[in-house]
Amino acid sequence: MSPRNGETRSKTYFLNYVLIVLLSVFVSACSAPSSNGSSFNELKIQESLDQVNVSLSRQDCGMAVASITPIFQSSSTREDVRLATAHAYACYTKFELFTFISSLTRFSGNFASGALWEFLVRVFPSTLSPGDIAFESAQSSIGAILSLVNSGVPQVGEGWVNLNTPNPGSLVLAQRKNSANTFLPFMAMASMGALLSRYGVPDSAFHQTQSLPWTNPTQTQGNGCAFASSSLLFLDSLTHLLVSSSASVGAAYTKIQSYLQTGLDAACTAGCLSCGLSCTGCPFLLRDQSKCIGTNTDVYSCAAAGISNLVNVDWQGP
Amino acid sequence: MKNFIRIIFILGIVLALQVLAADYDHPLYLSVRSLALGNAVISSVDDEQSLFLNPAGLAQVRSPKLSLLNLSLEGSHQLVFNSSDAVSVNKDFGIETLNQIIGKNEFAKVQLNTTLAVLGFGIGLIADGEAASRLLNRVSPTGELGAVGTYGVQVGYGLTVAQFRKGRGKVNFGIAGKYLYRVGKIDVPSLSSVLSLDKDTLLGDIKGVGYGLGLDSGLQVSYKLNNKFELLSGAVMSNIGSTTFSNGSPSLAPYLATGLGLRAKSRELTATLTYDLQRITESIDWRKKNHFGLELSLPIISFYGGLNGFWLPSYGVALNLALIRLMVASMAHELGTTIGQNTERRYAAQAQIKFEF
Repeated sequence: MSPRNGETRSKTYFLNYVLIVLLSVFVSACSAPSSNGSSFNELKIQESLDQVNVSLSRQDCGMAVASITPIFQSSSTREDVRLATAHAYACYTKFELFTFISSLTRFSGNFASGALWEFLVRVFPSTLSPGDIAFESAQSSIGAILSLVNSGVPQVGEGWVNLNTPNPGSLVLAQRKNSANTFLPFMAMASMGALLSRYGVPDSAFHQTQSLPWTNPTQTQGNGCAFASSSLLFLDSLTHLLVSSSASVGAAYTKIQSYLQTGLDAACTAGCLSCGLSCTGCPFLLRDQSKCIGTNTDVYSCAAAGISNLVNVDWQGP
Repeated sequence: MKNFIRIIFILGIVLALQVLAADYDHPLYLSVRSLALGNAVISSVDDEQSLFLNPAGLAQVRSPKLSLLNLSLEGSHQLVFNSSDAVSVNKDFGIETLNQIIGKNEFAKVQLNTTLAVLGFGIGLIADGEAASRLLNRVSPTGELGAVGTYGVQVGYGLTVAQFRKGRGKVNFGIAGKYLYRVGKIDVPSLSSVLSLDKDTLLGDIKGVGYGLGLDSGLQVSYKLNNKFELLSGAVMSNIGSTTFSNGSPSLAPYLATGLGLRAKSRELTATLTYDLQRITESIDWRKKNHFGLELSLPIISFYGGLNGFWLPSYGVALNLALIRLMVASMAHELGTTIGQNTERRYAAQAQIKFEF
């Protein structure tokens, strides 16, 4: 072999090697995932999940919701997307975990005797002005949380909501994931707090100045039912939150739980009785905020009216 | 035909290694030079630090090189210029102080190593400490939180496996094994651990020291175009099969990187242009895979510039004062899924006492 041939071969070897590296680049580029209209690739999902976290660090609620909603509403929705959606909507309720816990531990009212309502309007202020979407966002957040269902749970029977969407949700505590049941109490409180602020019109001492308007079953369709639904979902998942919480915070939750456990059941029973109906405690399906049809013969509307009555009685007036 | 089969064979190995590649979020070795070069060093590293970056580079080390002390520090912009938040959290751990650090990237890394390389062999002792507090999301805090300490020994060997005709170039292969101890954890806290408001629960409950074994391998090919220009290429597979620790501390994930370079030498100046492709098979933003670097070396001073993740700028300068090398660098680092989402600037400094015989 001539030296010239040897040199040519050396060059060929090196060029082969460079070719391999370039081929790797090509393969790598080809492996970059793509997305089509109705589903999203992993990279896009991760980017959106990151964007929610970054936006929620800056309190940019609009960006957080806009980033995750297209995926949540698509066939690519999944556990982390649903949770991120719940977090994104929670932003509009002004909920911040550490601030909330701080408020809870500093609150001096007696949770065992109805101070819960005062606490809720302190932490979740809201008005009826068009730009205030705290209540609506809390409901959207709750919808996303309810859709965090354990795998393998059959979607049969009652107790399901949003069945014809990519995110069907369960009203049964045990059917939902732990992550859902840990976050649900906060959004249930946000939903209740926003409604109490809007319709109870608290004064500067956070005492009620107007009675809640849903004490008549015919007025419960919509907000009255949503308030009752949130109360029951809150009570359900409070046990779950208690397990995770520190001792000081847990003590407050225990008092709230004890108050609601007896108060809500009695209120529902009284509501049913006032309609001439019979119910023992609150009907399970009242956890669905669309269940009330607003008549005196509807057990859900009557029970929801009973819960509103409980608040009007227990929430301290001016 | 023979060459074609050889290419297909090597390509097959490369692709097989790519399949093994996984996350590469927390590299152990802190090279300030690499940071300054936008992390594009795979093809060009050829000193005793090759032991950690690409063991094939050890083949270039013939006479003894001793890095007696190599101290490197790295910190995020937030930590370097506004460390008061981190200090207050550490002093008074609680709800109020935790809220202060959400959305702020606090990161620090300190590393000390001693390395000896001769006749292709290399041995290095390494001690590393890393702490991160990158909580995001005020609604339900998440992100990285914790601290990890790692120390151990790495041993490697590099050899020339083939030479081009007329000494125009060579193919070097290297392999390195490591035995490391690790303590602590940097992890994503769960909502329930956040709710506990307990420092130990939040920072993880890793107890004791765990040990782990790891293996790196690398390849470097150089080819002299003429007296002034040299083409470089390299590939490295680190933490083959993943370096896991017996106590459950975070493992060092395997990763594959390939690189190309062009080196130009004149009497006083050596300029090296490098390009690395990292995390090749992962479904990440393609820009995060691409790294570019330019090194301009003069006898006493060296200047560095680079693009980390395609367009995040890095830069640095090094002073070589006889036995002492001092270097400072700055690099932009992307913490988000895509470039520009959550970019953090980091700063690094290095002091090294070095003997070359």
